[in-house]
Amino acid sequence: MSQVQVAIVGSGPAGLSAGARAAVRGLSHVVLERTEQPSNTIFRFQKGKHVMAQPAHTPLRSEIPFEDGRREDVLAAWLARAEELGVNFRFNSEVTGITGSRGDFVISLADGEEVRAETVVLAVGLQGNLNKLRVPGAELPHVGYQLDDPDEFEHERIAVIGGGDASIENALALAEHNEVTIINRSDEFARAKSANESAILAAIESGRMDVAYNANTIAIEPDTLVLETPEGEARIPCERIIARLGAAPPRKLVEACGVEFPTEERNALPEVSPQYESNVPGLYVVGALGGFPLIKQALNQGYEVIEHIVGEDVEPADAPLLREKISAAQGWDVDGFLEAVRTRVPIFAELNALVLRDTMLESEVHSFTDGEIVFRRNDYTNSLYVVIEGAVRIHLDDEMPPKASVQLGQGAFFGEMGLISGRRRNATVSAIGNALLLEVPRRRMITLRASVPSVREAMDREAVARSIQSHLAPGLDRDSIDDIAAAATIHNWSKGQVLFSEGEEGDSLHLIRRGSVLVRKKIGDHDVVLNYVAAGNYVGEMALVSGEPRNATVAAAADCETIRIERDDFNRLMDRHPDLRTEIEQVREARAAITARMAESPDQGSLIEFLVDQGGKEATDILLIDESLCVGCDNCEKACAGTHGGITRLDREAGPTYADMHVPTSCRHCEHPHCMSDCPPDAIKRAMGGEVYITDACIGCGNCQRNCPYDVIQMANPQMGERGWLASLLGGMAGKRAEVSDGPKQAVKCDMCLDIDGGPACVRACPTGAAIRVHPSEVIELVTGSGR
Amino acid sequence: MSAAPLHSGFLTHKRMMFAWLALLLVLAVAAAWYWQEMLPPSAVDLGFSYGLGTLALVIMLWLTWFGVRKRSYAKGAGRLKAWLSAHVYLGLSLVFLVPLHGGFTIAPDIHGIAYVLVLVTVFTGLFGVAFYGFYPRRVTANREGLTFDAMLKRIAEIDIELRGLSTQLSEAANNIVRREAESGRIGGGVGILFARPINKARRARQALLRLNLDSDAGNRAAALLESKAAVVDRLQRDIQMRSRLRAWLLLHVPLSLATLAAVIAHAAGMLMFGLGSV
Repeated sequence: MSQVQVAIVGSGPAGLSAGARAAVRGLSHVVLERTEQPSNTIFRFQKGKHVMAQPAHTPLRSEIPFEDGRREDVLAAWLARAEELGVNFRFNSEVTGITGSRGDFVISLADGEEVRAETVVLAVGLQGNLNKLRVPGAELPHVGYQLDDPDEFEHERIAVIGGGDASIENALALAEHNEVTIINRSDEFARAKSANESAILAAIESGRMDVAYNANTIAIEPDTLVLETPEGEARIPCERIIARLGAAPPRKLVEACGVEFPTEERNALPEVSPQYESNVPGLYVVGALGGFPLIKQALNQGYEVIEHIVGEDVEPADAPLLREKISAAQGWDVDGFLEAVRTRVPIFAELNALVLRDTMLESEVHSFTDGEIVFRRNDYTNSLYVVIEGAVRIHLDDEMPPKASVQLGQGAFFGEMGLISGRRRNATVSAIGNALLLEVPRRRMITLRASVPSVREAMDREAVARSIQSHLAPGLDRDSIDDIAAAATIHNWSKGQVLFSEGEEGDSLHLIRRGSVLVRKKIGDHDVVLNYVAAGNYVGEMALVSGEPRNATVAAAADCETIRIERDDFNRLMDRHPDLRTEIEQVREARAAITARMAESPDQGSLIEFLVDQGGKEATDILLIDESLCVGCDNCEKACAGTHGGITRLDREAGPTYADMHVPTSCRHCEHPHCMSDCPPDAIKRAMGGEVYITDACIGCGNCQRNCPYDVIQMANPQMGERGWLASLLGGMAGKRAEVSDGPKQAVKCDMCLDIDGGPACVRACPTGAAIRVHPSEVIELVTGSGR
Repeated sequence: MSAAPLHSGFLTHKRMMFAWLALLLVLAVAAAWYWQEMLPPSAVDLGFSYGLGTLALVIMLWLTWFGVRKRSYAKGAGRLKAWLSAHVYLGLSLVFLVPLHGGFTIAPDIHGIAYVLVLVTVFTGLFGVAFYGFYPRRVTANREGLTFDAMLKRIAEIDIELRGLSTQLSEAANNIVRREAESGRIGGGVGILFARPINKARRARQALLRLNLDSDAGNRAAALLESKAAVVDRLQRDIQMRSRLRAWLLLHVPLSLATLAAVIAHAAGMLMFGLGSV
């Protein structure tokens, strides 16, 4: 029996990192690994899988190196480092139980041996305890619970069981060379990442894969999978079955070590102290089992736990970064600042310490002096600001200094309208006195809004009042709005849903927060589109003012969010703010004029509908080609290729045409870009001018390409070099879309010639004036105004 | 046209600003010419004519520079549309400036060649303007939303089905159908610029009908040939119109280079030997 200072159970990222730190610290140690190789879980990742070093902002503090890369490269670096440091592994050593206490633990192994240790680090993770099928035949040799290398199998019939990311990724990879059926217990793949969901649905749609929905596995036979489906029993012939059913904490083992779980729930995790110590003194729990499932977190904890064991007081790995973050805030320390955020900012009051730290890491602290501008009206930034100290002024007009303004004090937030609508800033904001602000990026806020209900509720409550104030009753003080705001409700509409119909009684008004709507009316037998109304405007006011039934139908052109104000509340608002009545009257007249023009030529309505449908509904800038002027010279494509490494980002000929208006395949720079929604390295950005572009951080995963509903993103090697005018004259075909080329591929898309003076090359290079770029708000003007 | 159209074509760019400028230039030159005609003959020297020639040469150099500007995608001031607008109207002004410079006389020498080349080049340019105004809408209308590739694909699909059918036909019919399904040619070379070639699919259909087939396969083949003929018609029109949109450039560009060469030879000759010496 051997005796060590530290015994580490498990050699995944946490265990390996702990072993490496113990070796550096000169502690006698052993890393007990159940299988015959270290980090077996990572070894069993799908071959070539791209391993991400997440969370990106957390610094790595470990003896083990780690950066984004293929699983093979990551592992090779780990093992080389472990060997260099002399980490002492003991393989094929499955732990069956741990007894004793600090200073004298006895670890029993499956082979009957025992290891004595002064302290124990439990780093077994979850993946060592994969959920398995519990049906007759589950132990047959052709049933697997992991997939190492999909290329090992060819021309087989394979059933993949599970509706999560792992099973989708496996199924897609296997479908390259096999006949694959994916078995889903539910009727959709909603649990998966959206890119995976769209990829699997596309594969099913195109027939590359079969699917069984609402199917439960009831038995496995040597060459058949037996399912229970709503239509009865189904038998799927297959030579191989891969079941990806997730993993759970190895509760039996952990309990056998004396560690307690707080609840009976299957996925419950043991409770540990801030030093990772469990209820058993001297027994520490780190990694996924301790609630930190990401590789980088596990590596950091492996390091930290050894420091705790030797009695070193380590601060969290992110502390130096946080210190640097708040260096702009003189006189603050990290803990004090975090405390101030939590106590002063109501929307963040309920964030737990970990989420708050993470949020801080992604945010920026700014210190502004009196009168300094935070952002200007029409800037295309979309972060959210909170006031930690001091106050800011929201300018309600463009005067400098403003004639009308609103003050926001400590704890308030602002910038939410840009965040929610995806449109330009609608007001300038400046500091009053010395103001300390925290700027939280859009992506972080979206995550927080989605995952922490209190953030969403607190934000919405405030944002509704402000929307009413800024869009309906500017100049009215908040006290006169709060009761109306409290009664207003937020509604979500999916594309095509009707907000209200012609002929109905007008009982409410909708303020559009996000998305846009189409206004239609029956004229004769035709359903004519009368208008297109975007976020930041209201609809439904006419019937409220006139008291007559609705005179048009309003439906969501894109997914929408509206604030609904009831008739009585609206009337109260008009009583308090008589200007509103005048303004509504003006809006009504302007709309009536458009209605009259549109009613004269219903074709224009159809054109608007077409343009809205082709992206106008969510675009901030859309490239159109007037086919009455386009001579097909493709100079637009050549110009695009000539200024973007030889790859054109627009396909002139592709795309639909209606009434001489052609919408080529080219980026719409959406308000809420679909491409941005699932970019692992956060490589897709939005510039001040609204341009959505991809940075060099792109890892070539292709998520954005799959997520784009307009098919405008290509995967290509962007290092093809640019051509001068002479080369393009002699070389000819510079404008062809990128074909397969050597080197790693990255996503490429239109960046609206962000770095080129004079604006988009496609439009500048069009000899006849056929190519134009328009903002959707100009669609009505484009269609009804002449000039065509 | 409304006050500020959201977009306009190159001819109406900035409310035809360059047309007005070119007209102004022509009027100014005409006024200057009239003024120097009024002078007593003794006071007239070659200054006006040299000045006018230099002006025309500068304009021609600038017009030729369009070929470079068109391909300068990252650099180059303004929109190409504005350049084309100015190119068209300034080019047109040469129709007046050059004859005036030549005293409205023409001789069979290098000066005369330069004179004629300028006019012919401008004339080919006018063809371009006319085509650019006439064809784009028609190309779109003719396509009815299909892309060129989609039309080719449709033909390929029809050909596959025809080949499948041909085995069920009599030998004579089989010959007609197979020959049609296996011929890949639909264009007609340079000739398509002037007239559309014979639609062989339609001819094959007529030949097939003359055989008086009364079988399902025969009827299906005839129907397929008719669909193919319709696509071929459409494609031929498409190719013809798009070729015309490009072909004039094959005259205009070499002619403009030839013009420039001839004009430089003319100017050099004038400077070295004087009028009538070449």
